[in-house]
Parts: sequence; C-alpha cells; structure tokens
Amino acid sequence: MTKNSVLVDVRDLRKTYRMGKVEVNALNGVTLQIRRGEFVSVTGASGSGKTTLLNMIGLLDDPTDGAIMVDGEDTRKLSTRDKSEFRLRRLGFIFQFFNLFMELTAIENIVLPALAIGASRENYMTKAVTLMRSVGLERRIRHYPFELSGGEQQRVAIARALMNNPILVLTDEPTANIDSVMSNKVVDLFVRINRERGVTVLMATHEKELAAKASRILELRDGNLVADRKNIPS
Amino acid sequence: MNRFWSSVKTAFFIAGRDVAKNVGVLAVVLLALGFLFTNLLFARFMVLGFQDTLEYDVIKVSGALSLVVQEKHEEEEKEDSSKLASSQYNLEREEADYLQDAPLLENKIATIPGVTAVTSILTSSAILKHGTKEQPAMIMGFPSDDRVTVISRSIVKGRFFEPGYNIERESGIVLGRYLAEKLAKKRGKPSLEPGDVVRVIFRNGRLKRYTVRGIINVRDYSVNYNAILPRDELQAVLKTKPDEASEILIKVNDKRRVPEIINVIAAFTSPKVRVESWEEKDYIGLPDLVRGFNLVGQIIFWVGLLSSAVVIAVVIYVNAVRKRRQIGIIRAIGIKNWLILLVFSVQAFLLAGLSVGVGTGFYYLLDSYLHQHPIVMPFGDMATSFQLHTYLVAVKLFLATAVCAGLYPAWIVTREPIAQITAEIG
Repeated sequence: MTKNSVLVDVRDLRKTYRMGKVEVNALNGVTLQIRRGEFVSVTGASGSGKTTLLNMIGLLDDPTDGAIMVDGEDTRKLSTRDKSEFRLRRLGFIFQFFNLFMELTAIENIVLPALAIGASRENYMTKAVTLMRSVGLERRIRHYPFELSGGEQQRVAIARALMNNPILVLTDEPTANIDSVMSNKVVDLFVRINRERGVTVLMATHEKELAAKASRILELRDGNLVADRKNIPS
Repeated sequence: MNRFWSSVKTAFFIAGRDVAKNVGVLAVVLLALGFLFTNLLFARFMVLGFQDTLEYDVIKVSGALSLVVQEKHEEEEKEDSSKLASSQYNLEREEADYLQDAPLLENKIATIPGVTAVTSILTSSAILKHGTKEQPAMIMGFPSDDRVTVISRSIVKGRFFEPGYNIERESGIVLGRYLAEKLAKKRGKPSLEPGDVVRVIFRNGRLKRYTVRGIINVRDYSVNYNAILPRDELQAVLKTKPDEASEILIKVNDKRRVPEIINVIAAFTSPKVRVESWEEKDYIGLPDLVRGFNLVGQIIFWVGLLSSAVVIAVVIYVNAVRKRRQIGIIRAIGIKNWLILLVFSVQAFLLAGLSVGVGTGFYYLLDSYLHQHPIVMPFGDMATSFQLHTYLVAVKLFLATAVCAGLYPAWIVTREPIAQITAEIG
C-alpha cells in the first residue's frame, strides 16, 4: 500500500435509528474517501452524525445501507469476530471519556491491546515505555489513572490506541473533558502522531479551532456531508 | 495458543487487580461469602457429626458394629410374643431361634479382612420382677471376653462379670439404667441398686432369682432397657448347646466396607441367616432420624449455595455495571467478549477462592470450639465431623457456582451494542 492510496472508502452510507415508532436518519447517503496519512477532522453540530460516521468506519456499528471499505476490506463481509480482530489490529480508538481501568497503572492500561493479541512481554513493555515517552508521560508510568489529570489520562488513552500500530486512529470529541490548554496539547499530539508515524487520524470535534489543526475538514449537517475541504493546519 | 494463554494471564491480572483494589469492599464481600461458605460446611458437617454420634454410640453399645448374623424366625417370634402375653410358658428349648456352629462361624468371620472383633451372644425376652413391679426386657448373654461392644466398660454402679465369674455363688445380673429405674419406681427409690434381688421369668417359662451386680448406662436407649447375664448362665437357662448363638456381633475397622463384608459372610452362611448392618437391624428408627437430618442438612447446603450464588452475582453485576464504560471501550478496541467474560469469571473465582479460605478459617474455629464443648444430646456428645471428600465437593460446588453466577451479569453487559455504550459516553 502506498502513501496517498485510499484507506477508507465510504459509499452512500446511511444509518437509520428506530426510537420507538420514530425513525431518525443519522446519516443520509454520505460518500467520502480518506487517504492514508491524512489527518481529517469531522465537524458539525451536536446530532449532525459525526459519532455515527466514526462508529461505522470504526466497525462499531452496522450501516443501514451503503458500503465501507477500510484498508481494502469490505466491512459488510466481516463477521462480528472478524470485526473485533480488525479493530484490535488495525484501528485505534480514543473517546471523550478516557475510560482507563482504575485498578491498572498507566503503563498497564497501555499494554492491554498488546496482551490481547498475545504479544511478548519484552516487546510490549519496550513499546509501551516508548509510547509513554512520546506522549510526555514517561514520569507517570507507574501512576494510577486517579493520580493523573484529565489531559494526562487522555494521553494514556492515546498511547493505548497506538499500542498495536493502527493504520487508522478514530477519535470522538477527545478534548471534551479537558481544559483548552490541554485540548490544544492533545490535538497537537494527534498532529505529531500523524506526521511522525504516518498514522491516518479521523477526529470528530465540534470545536472549529481544534478542527483547524487537521489537513482536511469534513462538515456534517443533519446526516449529510455538506463540506469537504483541504486545510492548511493552523 | 500463545495468544490464549496470554489472554488468560491478562484475565487473571486484571481480575486480581480489581479484587484487590478496594480493601474495605473486599473485606465485606469476603466476610459475607466466607460466612456463607462456613454455613455450607457447618450444615453438612453437623449432620455428619450427628450421624457419627448416633452410629458410633449405637454401634459401640448395641452389639454389632455393623453386622449381625441372625437366624430368620419372624413367624416364631410372633408366636413367642403371644406365649409371653398369655403367660403360657414353654419349658422346652426352641431350636429354630439359634445359629448353629457359632464358634466355626466366628472363626470364619474373624478371618475376613476388615473384621476386628467377633462375639457371639444369646438373647431372650423375659419378664423381670422386683416386688410388685414387673417389666418386660431383653436378656443378653455376653461372654466375658466380649471385644465388640463397650457394655462391660459402661458400668455406673457395682461391677460387671469379670472373666471366670462364678454365677453359682452370687447369681448376679447386670441391669440397664432405665430398666433399673422402671423396676424401682413403686419402691420409693429412683433405681434398683447393686444387691437388690429381681425375679426373671424367661420365655421358656423358667423362673430364676438374681441379685443385681451392676447397673450399666450406655448411649443407647434400647440397651439401657436390657439386662445382661453371663453367656454360660443364659445358655444353661435356655438349654442351648455351647455352639449355638442368637447373634454374632461383628466389629469392622471401616464402615464403608460393610457391604463388601456382608457379601463375604452371605457367601458362606445359610440363606436362612440374616446378615445386617446396624441400620438394617435398627433399634429405634435411628436410620430414619439420620436420613431426616441428612435431608435437612442437604436443604441448608443447597440454599446456602444458592445464597452464595446470589451474593456473587450481585457483586459481579454491580462491578460489571460500574465498569460498563470500560467494557464498552475495550470492546471497541477489539478485545473479545470471551476475554471480558473470562476476566469476570476469574474475578468471581478469586472472590470465591478467597472466601473459601475465610470460610474454612471460620469453620475451623467453630469446629475447634464444638470439639472442646460438644453439644450434649441423649444419644451422645455431638460435634461437627469434618470429611475431606465432602469439603472438597463443597469447595468445587462453591467455586463453580461462583463462576456461573459471575458469568451471567457480565454476559448481559457484553451483549450491549458497543455503539450504544460509546454514544452514551460521547
């Protein structure tokens, strides 16, 4: 796979949620492509369909209609088990709430995905320490989540997402629970990860200032893709 | 395989950390589950203790430890009862009542592996009289070298028949405690005493006078209503031959071998001979009592097990619900449901395992106390009776129940759509 080749190919993606007798169209035929190495922001108001789009691309939810190809795989053909395996080995997730295991130290939280694929201790510990260093938490390795600030916890979650060398990192409102200074640092970290590691990043955020750090900005409104523009990161 | 073991290790690692995370909560959960496990053990081992007490005391004083060889004579017994009731005494001996070649049988039985002592005795029903008071009773003729029962060592007043006891000189008889009390009631004293004289009318019509030589008190209701004579004396009264016996009492070293020993004996005895364990022989419905207590114990055991399951299920469910977000996230990351279930199962297993330790500790204290201060019952001193096999069964069931109980709430949480959980988060 060459750089700039298509990593995510979304065709006429539709998602309808049924809430009692009411049907809500979360996505109304979204079509887009994301190339390898891109840092893409998805913006839009609350309820515009950002999270739904990320869930579909991240194989967390099934579309009502349409197709999604990720890294050449037609996701419609994957079983639940295959999807789990795909997520574990090729995708990285960072959510609004850090949701680290409180009973595990920072580094133990980070190595969880590696343990799940049966990596050797020597490999995953070395890698975890490197990741901790790269997110600026090398002095917090043995700290428990409750001993870390919100921004630090989010950086642990980022390191965890990178543990299995994902080709695509999906992050949904990663700065919603941290202050503005720390928000900038976290998004800068995504920028750095994208540049230095070549990892494709798809970030949903409603904050325009943060979205502007991406190389491309998608805008959703009422489940429709209303804007797709290149951006010179600020 | 590497991945599987890595996952198992991960499950143990996370579960272990989770269990140890909050020492206060852990202590409360362990106390609750520990007491439940203690209750399981206590209910079971108290019943076993009850059973042991009954068996031990009945066996050691009622004659046979576990086996009785007795000629079948149901029809004649009915006839004999009617003879006694109508006081139509028959001075002739009754051939059919006795085992023949008793010494030979004794020797054969003594060679069976597991048999530790054999004694043949004579028995006869009789009426004992003291003044105006009369009481029907069983007369047992024991040899002086009886090693099966503890009757000769259960004297509370006077003396038993020592080896070489000369009946002609004293005409002594030993009475069971209750029999001695019954015969004394109308005489203004609580019990007959050694030196008192009783008249005995045997079922063959023979009447003899005996002097009370001793009173026995054993933990067996029926034997305390019996009277004991030297075997030679009863043989002379009943006019039996020296090689005839009413019963052969047998002591075995392990009650679990009883069925096997019964089969061996049945193979060389006449089909007319009954070979019975004490439960089959049954004196006063004790086996029914044991079965009844056993049932109560079983019910307490299973209710306790279910209670433990509920407690563990609640603990795991609360934990699973509390961790719903984390579970959603790690499922999103790609960690399989089975690993998540494994974590909760291991957690339940660890909780149950630690509770087994705590519960066993509590039980040990209780067991030690009861052995120092046994419950005094009419049939014996009762305490818990620990059995390793039963303990291991309880441990296995407790752990299995815990894992099943822990699995279900965790399974419910892992069934939830990931997108739903993450949507709630975002």
